[in-house]
Formats: sequence, structure tokens, C-alpha cells
Amino acid sequence: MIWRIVIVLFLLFMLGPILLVVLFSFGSNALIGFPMGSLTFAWYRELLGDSGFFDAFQTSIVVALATAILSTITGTLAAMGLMRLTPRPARTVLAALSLPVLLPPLVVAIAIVVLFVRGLGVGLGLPVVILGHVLVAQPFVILIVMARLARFDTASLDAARDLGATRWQAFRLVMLPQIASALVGAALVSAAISLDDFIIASFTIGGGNTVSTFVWGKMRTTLDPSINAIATVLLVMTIGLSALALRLARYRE
Amino acid sequence: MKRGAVALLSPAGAVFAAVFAIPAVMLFVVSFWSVRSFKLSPDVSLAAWQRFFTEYWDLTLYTLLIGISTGVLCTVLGFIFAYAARFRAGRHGDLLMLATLVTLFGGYLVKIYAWKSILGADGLLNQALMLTGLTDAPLAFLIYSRSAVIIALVHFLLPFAILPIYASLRNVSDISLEAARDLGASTTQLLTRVILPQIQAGLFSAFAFSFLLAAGDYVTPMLLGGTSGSMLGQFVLLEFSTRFNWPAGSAMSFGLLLACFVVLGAAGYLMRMALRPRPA
Amino acid sequence: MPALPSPLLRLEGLSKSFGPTVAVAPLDLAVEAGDFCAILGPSGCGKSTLLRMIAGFTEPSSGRVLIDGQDVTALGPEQRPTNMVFQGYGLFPHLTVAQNVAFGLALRKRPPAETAGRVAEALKLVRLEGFDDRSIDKLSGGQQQRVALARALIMRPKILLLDEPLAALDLKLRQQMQEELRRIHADIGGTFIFVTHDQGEAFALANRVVVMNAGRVEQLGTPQEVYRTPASLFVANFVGEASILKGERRNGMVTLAAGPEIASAGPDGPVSAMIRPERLQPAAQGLAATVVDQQFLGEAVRVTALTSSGERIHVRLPDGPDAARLVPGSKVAFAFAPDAVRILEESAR
Repeated sequence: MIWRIVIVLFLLFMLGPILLVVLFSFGSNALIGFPMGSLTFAWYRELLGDSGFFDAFQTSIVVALATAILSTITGTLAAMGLMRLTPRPARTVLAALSLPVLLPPLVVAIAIVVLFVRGLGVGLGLPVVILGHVLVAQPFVILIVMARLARFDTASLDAARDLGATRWQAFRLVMLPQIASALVGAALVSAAISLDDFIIASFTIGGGNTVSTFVWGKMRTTLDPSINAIATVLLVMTIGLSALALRLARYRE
Repeated sequence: MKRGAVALLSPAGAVFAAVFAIPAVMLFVVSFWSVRSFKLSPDVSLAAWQRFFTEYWDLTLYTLLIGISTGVLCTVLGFIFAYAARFRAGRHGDLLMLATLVTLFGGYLVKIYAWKSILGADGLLNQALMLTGLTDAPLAFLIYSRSAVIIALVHFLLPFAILPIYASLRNVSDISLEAARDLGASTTQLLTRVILPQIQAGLFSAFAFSFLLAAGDYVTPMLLGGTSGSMLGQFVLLEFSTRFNWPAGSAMSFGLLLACFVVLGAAGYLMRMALRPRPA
Repeated sequence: MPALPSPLLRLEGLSKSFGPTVAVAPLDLAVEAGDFCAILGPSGCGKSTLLRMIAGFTEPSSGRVLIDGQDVTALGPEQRPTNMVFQGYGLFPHLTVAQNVAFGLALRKRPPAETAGRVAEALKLVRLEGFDDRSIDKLSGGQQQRVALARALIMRPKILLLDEPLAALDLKLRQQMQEELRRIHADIGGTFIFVTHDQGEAFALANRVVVMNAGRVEQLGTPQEVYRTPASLFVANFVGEASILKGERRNGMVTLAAGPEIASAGPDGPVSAMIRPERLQPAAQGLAATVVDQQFLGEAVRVTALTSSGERIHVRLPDGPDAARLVPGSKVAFAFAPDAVRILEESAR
């Protein structure tokens, strides 16, 4: 009984604030507060007409897509490489590659700016944002793919070779179909991480906006009620992607 | 290392080098440069570091304090939640972990914004307090305070603490718990002598994650901290942007990291001491 | 070169080292067509490495592999006329039973009709008719074993290799699969080589046994030869149970420390005498010993006794009044026929 209360309190604390934002995105009142006014889709309609949001949305999609594809490639290859190492060096390399996730994104972002602007003299922009997102997404891809590979029966690759498959055929016909769901899951998680990031994007984008930096602009200036709607859109995308990823990575084998 | 492994690791390694390792080295080098009238010039100067140790040491301590408070709260709360999900929720355990993941991906800015709406002067909490007659004027201290920052940070970082603790709790076998019970362990003894020592790594990751990310944050204090809840990250940003003093910002970044690793080392030591096997 | 009848498989000076560790020391081996050959040894003796060198998965450090007189040493596993049943089977979990079995033929782009026919034939051979569309994880261990077998046999390999084929199965199923394997071997008249650490399995299946230890071949022979006349102390101990008694040979006569004397030609010096447990019988006189333990095994009784020289001997006799008398503490003598003793030189260890 006590545990039930504890769990309910936890869920209230964890999910409550997020649900509030979603709830008020459908309320006619400008601010979060009760009464929330009548049910309305006005804020969403307003978003549709906002070209600034639309541009930011497109940019976010492009960045998230590129991050998903690139980090899945680099992360999967790295996971396969790590599986070939003995546990000790594998742990060290994995820890190093995971370091960017542990350090404050502020420091990571500033370091990127210092190198690209001062060190290399090249401009900032979307490619830099994407690289930064790949950096933080690839450790997650590595973890997901390694977990899948650990359960992978390598004898089935030997069996394919024994039955006449080349190395490439064995990979494509035997390994890839088996780990495909984990790869898609990893790509979705990467996309969610990219969409959720604000700090790296805000430092490295140069000009323009992602949805996150767009929301930031609104949060700083006015208490704009359309923030609730944008936040809900963002939420639906990140949570949707990660829920889908979870299903793929865990339940479909 | 095998040659094939190196080839497979190289794309990830290239990204790591290009946007992390090399930039980090460069950032460190810049902390020894000097700045005159907004112009940056390569140098071997300790001015930036001097500035960090003289002007910012108290803010660094505050920042660490907020980080440690957040880290400890997240670890304790995270353990309670993970324990409930693993041992007390039965088949609903998976559902609780799903809720955790939803919170994890709930949007960084969205969460801060939500807390601003809840804790603000005309926010939900004040409305509720006034409605119930507990107060008749909005309580200003709810927002723009250190506690507002800590609440929002705990909310943001709790999933990061729950996940590693839950992962290590899953590796605690039910049989080892039954064996301990069979040998006469009480519930408290079960916790302190069997469960906690087995999940030390998970507890430490939980603390490390939540502490490091809290100590390095600047957006939360910017929106919820007011003047009393400022953190070093905001001033790193300030040095980099408006003041254009990159060396100072860089020295502060590395100074903060250094301080964080000292804290982590101490935390690891304390945890090991507290959970070491005791004679009967 | 003299025109020797060429065996189906010939290994010449084949060896494998991993860094400083020698997995397989240079060895020569011939396997004739139609053989059912067991490579028997304890874990880590190099038997799996040897099998993988035959299959082409492991590149030998030296030596050659010849199949049908052709040197295949440089060929990969996909190019060799061998197919393998893997330990743990290595089935493709994302494919159905029929797709698993058809995998090799599909790679060779055989006409669908031929493939379908051969799949049906292979499934019939392993008694899995009607399992075509089942998914792999819905099968029992024994059924998975049969799929792995069918998947390899459909390729009509010159040599079928099996790596600990029955290790994952429980006892009853194992005995059943042993019978099946013998039937399939007889039906298709193929050549099978399998690796096992279980001497019972080696004897039950094979007509030729290669006993390996520490990367070396200790003995090669029929199961009867290996059991009755082990070439070394290792083989005597590893294959079945044996009593080993120390002795000294002088002028063609071996005197055991435990008492009895046995005629045996050979150089003077220390030797060991090996006797199988079923060849020792309680008697009025012979090898004197004190019983220390008696185990009831169902159809037989196993008795352990200590000789006057302090050596442990093992005796196995049918359950009955004779056996009942051999309770711990009783002093008895055991007689044995002269041909029951195998004398092993001390150098043959």
C-alpha cells in the first residue's frame, strides 16, 4: 500500500509537468493556470501559419534524419569493432566514446565553436550541428547494437559461410536481417536525441533555428502560449520515436 | 588491437576526434591565451586561470553544491523508484520503466518551461495555494531560487539516475536474496549488505550522471534561478558571448570539470567505504 | 611416389598455433570414404580446432588438407566439399525450417523445383516432414539438431563434419539421435567426422576413433582397439575406466608392486599394467586388495579396492551374491586372464 502511494507520487512528479504542458496546449487561456479556458486548437493553427516555426521544423527534421543515418552507421561499425576486442580494451574505448555524453553539453558545444571558428576558420552551420549530434548519439547506438550482437549466434555466420556464402553474403543474408530491428531502434533513438538537443544546436547552428532554438527564442522573450503547442509537437515526436525504438529493439526478435 | 577492429572503429573515432577530442585540446590551449580589448591572441598566460580561482571560486562552490544536492536526491529517489519497479511493482515494473523513458525523452526545454509555469508568481502552485487559502499573496520565493533550480534539475535528471540503478538491480538475482533471507537477514540487512553492495556501480553511474549534468547546466538556472540561484555555466556562457573572454570561459570550463572529478572521486570513495563488507 | 590407394581425407603435417600456444601439433591423419570417424578428447585438446581446419574456418599454421587427392588448404569454407553441423547448430532464426535447409542451394541459384525436391528429401531423411514452415524458435532441441543436419546434408558434402553434435541434448534424446545418425550414415553412405569429449558417444557412433590430447593424436583405431589395447596411459584413463598398477620388468617378466607377476616381452625397466574393471573377478587367490567402496549401478556393481601397494583398483561385476560379499573392509583377491593385462612402457605416457 505504501509502495503504491510512493509510486503514484513519483509518477505525478515525473509525468505531471509534461502532461500539464500538453493539457494547456489545448486551452484557450494564454498562460498556464486554472481555469484553463475552453478547448481550442487555436495555438496549433497559429503554428501552422508561422513561417519561423515551419523553417525550424524542417531544419530539425533534416538534422535528426542525418544524425540518425550517420550515427547508426558509425555506431554500428564501432559496436562490431568493439565486439572483436577483448573485454578490457573494449571497455576503455567505449568509455572514451561515451565521454561526450557525460560532460556538460555547454563545454562540448563551446569546444566545437572554438575549434571550428578560431582553429579552422570555417563557419558554423547545419553540418556542424549534425556532427555534434552524431557525437552524442553514437554512444547510444553502440550500446544498443552491442546488446543485440551479444545475443547474436556467430555460429550462424560460420554456417552461412560453410554453405557457400561469401563474407558479404553472410553479413547481408544472415546477420543484417537479424539485427535490423535493433538498428532501426538505434536510429530512432538518435533522431530523438537530436530533436531534444538544444545546447549544441544553439551554439553551432550559426544562423537559423531548430525547433529547440526556436522555442528558446519564445521562452526568453514573451510568455507566448504557442510554446505549449510547440512543446507538445516536440514531445510527441521524441516520445513517439523512442517508444517505437523500444518496441523494435526489445520485443521484435 | 586487431586490424579489423581498428577499421570498424575509425568512423566513430573520426567523429570523436573532430568534434570532441581535438576541440577539447584546443579549448584547453585557449585557456592560456590572453585577451586585450576583445582581441584574442595566443600566449602562455595564467590570467584566465587566476581569474577563475579568485573571482569564481565561490560561484564554483555554489555550483558544486547544487550539483551534489541534485546528484544525491536523484540517486536516492532513483533507487527508491528502481527498487519499486524491480521488487514491488510486480508485472507493472515494465510500465514504470516506460514512464521513465517518457520522462527521459520529455524534452529538455519543455521540462524547464513546465516548471516555470508551475513555480512562477502566477503559476499553478501559487494559484493553488491562494485558492485553498493557505496564502493570500503569491509566494515569490518559489521561483528564482536555488530550490527551484534543484527541483527542475532533479526532474530532468531523475531518469538518468533510475536507468543505471534499475539495470544493475535486474542483475541482482532473486536467489541471492532468498539465500540471505534463509540465512536470517532482516529487511534492512538485506538492503545494506546484499542489495546495495551489488549495485554499487549502478549507484555510482546514477550519481555521476545526474551530478555532472546538473553541475554543467546553465539553462535551468538562467530561467528558474534568478540571482540567488546562479551557476557557473551561466558565466562561462557570459565570458564566451558578451564579454568575449574565451580564455576565461575556457579556464572556467576546465576548472569546473576538474572540481567535478574531485567530487566524483570523493563520492566514489565514500560509497565504497559505506558499502564495504562489514564483519558480523 | 608409390601409388597408394588415396583416402578421402588426408591431413599432412597439419598444425595450428595461436601465438605461443600450440593448439594442434603437426599431425598426419587419413580418413577413408564411408568412415564414421570420431575425434575424441578432453576439452581444450585441439579437437575442435582440427575440425575447423578441415572445414576451412581456421587457417593452419603448417601442413596440408587433401580431400579426394585435391589440396584444399587454401580454400575457404564456402569452397570446400565439406559441410558442418555446428555446436549449438548456428541455425538462422529469421528463416523458416525449409528456408534454413534451402539456404546453401539458394546461394548456388539452383532451379526452385530442384531445391524444393531436395529440401523435401532432406527433411524426410531427418524425419521432419511437414515442418517446412515452422519457425526455428518453435522447435525443440532435438528438432533443431535435425534441421542443422538436413541443412548440411542437402549440400551432399563429401565429408560431413559435426562439432559436439549431441552435447546440448538430454540423455534419452541423445541416445535416440545416436541411432538416427547411424541410420542416416548408413542410408546415404557418406563420410562423417565428428568431435566429442564423450567416449560413450564416440563408441556408439564411430567405426574409427582418433583420441587426442594436448594437441596430439594419442591413438587411432577401432573402438575395440582403443578400449582393449590403449596406446598410452592417457588413452587407458580417458577412454573408459582402468586400474593402473606399477611394476618392473626383468627378463621378460613383469613384477607388479601389488604382487602378481605377468609374462611380457620387452626391455627391462619400469612399466605400468592396465586392466579393465570387467576383467577382474573375485577369486581364491591373485591380486590381494581391501574393498573401500561399493556402488550399485543397476545392472552391475562397481567396487573400488586398495592393493597392498596402496594402488586403487576398479572392479565391475554383475549384481549377485559374489558382489554382495564385497562390502567395504573385506579383504579379497582378484584374478585376471593374462590377455586382460595391457603392459605400457613408462615412456608411453
